Amino acid sequence: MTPDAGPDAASDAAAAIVVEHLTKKFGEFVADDDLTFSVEKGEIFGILGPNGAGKSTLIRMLTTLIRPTSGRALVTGLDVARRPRSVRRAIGVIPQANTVDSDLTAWESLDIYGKFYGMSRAERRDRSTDLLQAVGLWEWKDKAAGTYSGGMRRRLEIARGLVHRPHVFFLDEPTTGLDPQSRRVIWDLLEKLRAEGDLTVLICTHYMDEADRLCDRLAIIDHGKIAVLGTPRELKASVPGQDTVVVQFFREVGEAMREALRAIPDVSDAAVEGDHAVRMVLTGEVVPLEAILDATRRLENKVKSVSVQEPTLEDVFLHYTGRGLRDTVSTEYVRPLPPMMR
Amino acid sequence: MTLPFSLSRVLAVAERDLRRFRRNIQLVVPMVMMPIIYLLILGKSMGGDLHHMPVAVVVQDEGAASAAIRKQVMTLAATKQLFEVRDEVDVRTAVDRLRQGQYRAVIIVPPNFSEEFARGERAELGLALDNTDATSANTIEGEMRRAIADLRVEGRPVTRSAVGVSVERVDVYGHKNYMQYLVPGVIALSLFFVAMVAGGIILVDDRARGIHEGYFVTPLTSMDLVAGLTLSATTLALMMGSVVTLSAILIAQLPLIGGLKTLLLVEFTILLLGLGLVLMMFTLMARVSNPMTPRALFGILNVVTFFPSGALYPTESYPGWLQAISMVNPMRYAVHALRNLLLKGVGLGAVLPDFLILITFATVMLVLASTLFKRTL
Repeated sequence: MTPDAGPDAASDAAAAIVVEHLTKKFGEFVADDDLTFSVEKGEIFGILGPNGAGKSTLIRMLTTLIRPTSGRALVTGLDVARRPRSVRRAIGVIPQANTVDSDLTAWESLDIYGKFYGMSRAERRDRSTDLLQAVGLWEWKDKAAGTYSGGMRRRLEIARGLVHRPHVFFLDEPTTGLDPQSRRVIWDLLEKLRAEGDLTVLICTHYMDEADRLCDRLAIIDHGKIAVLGTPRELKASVPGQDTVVVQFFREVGEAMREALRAIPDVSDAAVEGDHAVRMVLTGEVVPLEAILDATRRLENKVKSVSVQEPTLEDVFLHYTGRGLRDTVSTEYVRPLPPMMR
Repeated sequence: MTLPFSLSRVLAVAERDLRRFRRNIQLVVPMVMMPIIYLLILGKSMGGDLHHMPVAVVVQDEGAASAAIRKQVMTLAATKQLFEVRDEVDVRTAVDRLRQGQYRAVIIVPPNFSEEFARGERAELGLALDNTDATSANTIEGEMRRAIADLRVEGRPVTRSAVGVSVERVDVYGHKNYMQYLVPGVIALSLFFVAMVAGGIILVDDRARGIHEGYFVTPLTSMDLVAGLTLSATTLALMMGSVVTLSAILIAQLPLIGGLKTLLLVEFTILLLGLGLVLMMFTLMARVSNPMTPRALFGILNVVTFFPSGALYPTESYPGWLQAISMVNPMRYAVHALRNLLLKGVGLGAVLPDFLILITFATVMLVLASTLFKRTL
């Protein structure tokens, strides 16, 4: 069928995705700027970034929908620009836009997509049955997808993207706008696939909890560039002095307590929360308990509880990009945000 | 009591709509263009003078009167560009060719015509007419009668009062009405609608809904896509075309002269025109992503394909520019073939040129559609 004998890069045989100096320009606008990274086989790799960061453009290049301006990308060792047809056979894709065919039933959708990949009738039947059960659509398999909820459509798309047993699975914001139950079903499914071990997943998201829970490694991209790349733990550890401590007091607290706590050398910022709590941002790793208790005694109050909050990926994102990931940022203790830019 | 409307709310709703039109000026243009195109195309495709109708003359007589008749016919051809005259030797051959659609009329000057005329008897001039097209048949008959009235034989006028020439009109196909004349056009129109919906509107809607984006990440090639979409739309065209054909035949009470063979050739014509129109629509919509565009173009495309097809009025009446549109219009050839098949019961040989043009048209459109069809976003 094809002249695709071997992979384009023997040296990277272990990597499912290799991206080298990949750049995409639309006229003057640089959507993706000199990206370089690789994704190991069997890994769930996250691309984290706000809207307009270049996530979808990256996925579209990796899934052969648009051609890179320069640089190259290999998927399962095949160059996406030179061997798009072979790449398409190896990948499953959940685009950001909803591409479910509302006029077809779930069963018909999977069956037709199976035919696109030349699967036999028996293969299609077995695979469709397994997948529809896995995504919880078995009872609905003979209903037109037009009657499905948003979450069901997304689950159908995921089943459809997996029908031909792809080696690499691309998901562009698979849970955006979905209800919590659908999100959980999708996460469980992806974790189950990872446990089976033969599927590499590249997922774009702007949900921190999703990235934190699912991804083995992730890259934060902003303005088309990789800001930082690593495991979620590494990324959180790399943010200096972003631990916060919330102290609950017995009696009401006010400006005096805030000032007293702010004056502690290891505290970079403090804010009153409600009537009985103060939130502090620490500069170091150690909680200055002694100093906190001293201040409490001075102001004739007592400590009810102390809770330490580790940095979240949200903090990581802020640290590396200097702006919030979501449109609404409620945390008042962090440094002032620059105005949102597209 | 509160009013069921408020002026400010009404104005806000109106403002939103008007702003929308201003942002989509490309959709407003067809609304203005449409009536103007109607005026031009409808005005010039209906009721114009007929020209260059193919007519055969069979002169079986050597006398002076028959020479005068022939001269008169040639004058009509030269001055009004009414006829394209061909001489035929044999009446049977000439009428056979008329039945195959080669001639609109055969003018027969029988043996002894001049002799009878010279003797002062009533000389009969034969006029065999292709009456499947009433407009051209009536025009030819009228022009011939007027010409005979002006006939001069060896300088002497042949007045109406004098014993002279009578024109015997022979309708080759018995009685035909306008409804039957319309059937081929209606069949072609049904195929246009299928092509517009299946090839235009659904194609662009699917593109806008992301169905194609879903396809593009699979191994489907652009050839797979164009061929698959063509197959489905053409299948639909064949089915719809057949239903409309059978309904129209029943409603217009059209006798099926050629029987099963004609029906098969009609089906083949439907297939060829359906294919051509579907591929034409794919070509036009290859790069279109706004679902409103095919809807806005629907009317204009309908006018520029249907009216200059000869479905309503003979193509011989069109001015040059309309002829040019008509020449590249696949509907013209399909209507011509369908009319010959359904109203005259001709065989494959008579419609083969139409078939070849339709096949050529579909092939050109296939190449254009495949070239223009984008495989990437």
